[in-house]
Amino acid sequence: MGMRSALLFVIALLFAAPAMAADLTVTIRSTSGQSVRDAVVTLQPTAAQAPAPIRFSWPYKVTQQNLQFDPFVLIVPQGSEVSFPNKDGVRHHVYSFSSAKPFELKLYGKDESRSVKFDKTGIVALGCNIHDGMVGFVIVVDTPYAMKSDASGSVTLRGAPAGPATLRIWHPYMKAGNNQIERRIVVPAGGMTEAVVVQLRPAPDHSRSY
Amino acid sequence: MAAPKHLGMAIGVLLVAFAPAKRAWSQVDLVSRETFTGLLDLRLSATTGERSFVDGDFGKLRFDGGGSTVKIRPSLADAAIAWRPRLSWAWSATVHAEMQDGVKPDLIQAYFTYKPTPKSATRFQARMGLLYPEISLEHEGALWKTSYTITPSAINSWVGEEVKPLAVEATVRRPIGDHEFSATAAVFDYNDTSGTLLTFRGWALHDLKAPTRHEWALPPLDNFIKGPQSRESYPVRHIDDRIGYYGRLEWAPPIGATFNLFYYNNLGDKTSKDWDKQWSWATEFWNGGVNWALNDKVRILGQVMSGRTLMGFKGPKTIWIDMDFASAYVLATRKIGETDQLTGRLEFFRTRDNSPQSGGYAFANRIAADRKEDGWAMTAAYKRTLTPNAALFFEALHVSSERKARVLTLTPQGQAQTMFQTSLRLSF
Ligand SMILES: [Cu+2]
Repeated sequence: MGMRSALLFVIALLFAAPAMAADLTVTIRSTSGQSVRDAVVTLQPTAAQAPAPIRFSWPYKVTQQNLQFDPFVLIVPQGSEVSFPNKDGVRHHVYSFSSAKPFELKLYGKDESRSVKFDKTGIVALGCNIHDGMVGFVIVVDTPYAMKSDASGSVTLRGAPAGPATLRIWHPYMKAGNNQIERRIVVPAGGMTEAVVVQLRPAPDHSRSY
Repeated sequence: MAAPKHLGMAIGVLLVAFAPAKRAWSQVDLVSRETFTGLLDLRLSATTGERSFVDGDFGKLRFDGGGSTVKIRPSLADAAIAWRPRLSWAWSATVHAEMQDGVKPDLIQAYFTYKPTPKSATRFQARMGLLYPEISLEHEGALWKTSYTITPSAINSWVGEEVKPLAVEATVRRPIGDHEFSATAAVFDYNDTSGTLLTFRGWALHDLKAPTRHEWALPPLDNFIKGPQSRESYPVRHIDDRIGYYGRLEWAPPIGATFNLFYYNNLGDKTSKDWDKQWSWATEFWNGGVNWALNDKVRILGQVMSGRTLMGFKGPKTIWIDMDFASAYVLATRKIGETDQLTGRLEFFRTRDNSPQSGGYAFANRIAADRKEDGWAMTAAYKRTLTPNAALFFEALHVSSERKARVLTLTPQGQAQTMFQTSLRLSF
């Protein structure tokens, strides 16, 4: 490595490394004033990031229980293996036709599990070919700053680098292109709180199926 | 008795024709515990008014009324079982039988379902066999049980008793933007007598389902029609060689509501009959439905049905039987807490006889032959889910109707009935 390229490397590192880590809190409400849970908030800093393996604190697992996917929305880093344990007394037939990961897990019974590797980023909608009412989502991301909102509609992304970034908020029933809104923000070194109002459409009614 | 044999043969042909050729054995599940669903319906009813149509009278309800007093009846109203084997990952079958109080034990439905894994947002499903077309918004599941009340509306009571064909049905579903669409088309047979019970008895409110090999009793028939027409009507019968069809469109805009439109026509030739005086009726109807979830707790359902049924030869003035029928209901249901649900329903029904002086009957008793009817009913129900396998229902129902043909039983044309029911449903 020449002197010149070594210098460039150091400069790049200086710019890339977070000068300051900030906490970014986002609260999401619907136009009718209700807290929106299960909204996925991701922050993509504009400056290049030092590559590091991304780990989230929650399990990479979608359980089938009471004829539902639990959790309804799961965020995982790109390249993760997600397990799909069945806790129901009946079999399920889990599938997705989403372009980020089309797959199909043929029938398996109680207390059995299968796993799927999600190698592309994107939204993967889950369904069950036996129970039309079963709906779930796996969100595959390549940023460590990602989290879904809790019952109070709030998310805190900790240790985000100060500086310009793209903030994205996605919800399966959001009335917006790709069910997502996007904002360019500058994260101040002291952290910030961002309030977002989104328009939701009613969840599709799967209560009846023959 | 040619009919059951024909039916068995038709089901057999379907089985051979459509059974999956390539078997993924790991996906086959013929007799595991989860292929069986069963249900017991323990009922206590208290009813006033007429004797039930089940016994060949004009009563509008499932159980006999005690006239001006209350008749109390405990019963095992229904013992039902469904077997749903999985034949491959895309093919399954449903065989559904019931022992209903008032009807002989019988097969209710028997059909195959083909449902391949969706490869895109367009989904496909096919069903073939003896089945209930998707008309009722009040029934659910393999056992086709009512969801909100014990007793379904007059519209869906009639579907339960006379709209059960042997059909080959295909459905395509697909979202377009935020809107979800579905289209169903089917051809069918074995529903040639559809309209018989509705014509001679009128509308009714009950949760009985059409037996497959057995019959419904009809109320007394007038002097003309009792010659050619049996007092028993077999709801699943192939009489003429015409194939009927039905179609359904559904639209779910992103407002929490689903709208559907259904059309049925059995294309009966009207004049073919079996040796046991079962006729090939020409019956057609439209049904429109709305299912609207106002929020997490409150849901509104409504259906409107309008149709016409014809049978027999042309007399001096009209064909023997030419009757219009129509009914509508609106149902509102509200969840209370985690386990309870309160439901109310209001409905109206009517029939109009376009052939009251039909055939050779013109010289006899005109009034007796007029099958004109007007009526309404009000139902309130409370459901409590006790465990995932047990539910308790309470229901109060009042039905009032004017029917000219009650002259045939020498009873007043106007009749009202009130019924209180408790139902304990145990499933396994
Ligand atoms: Cu399932």
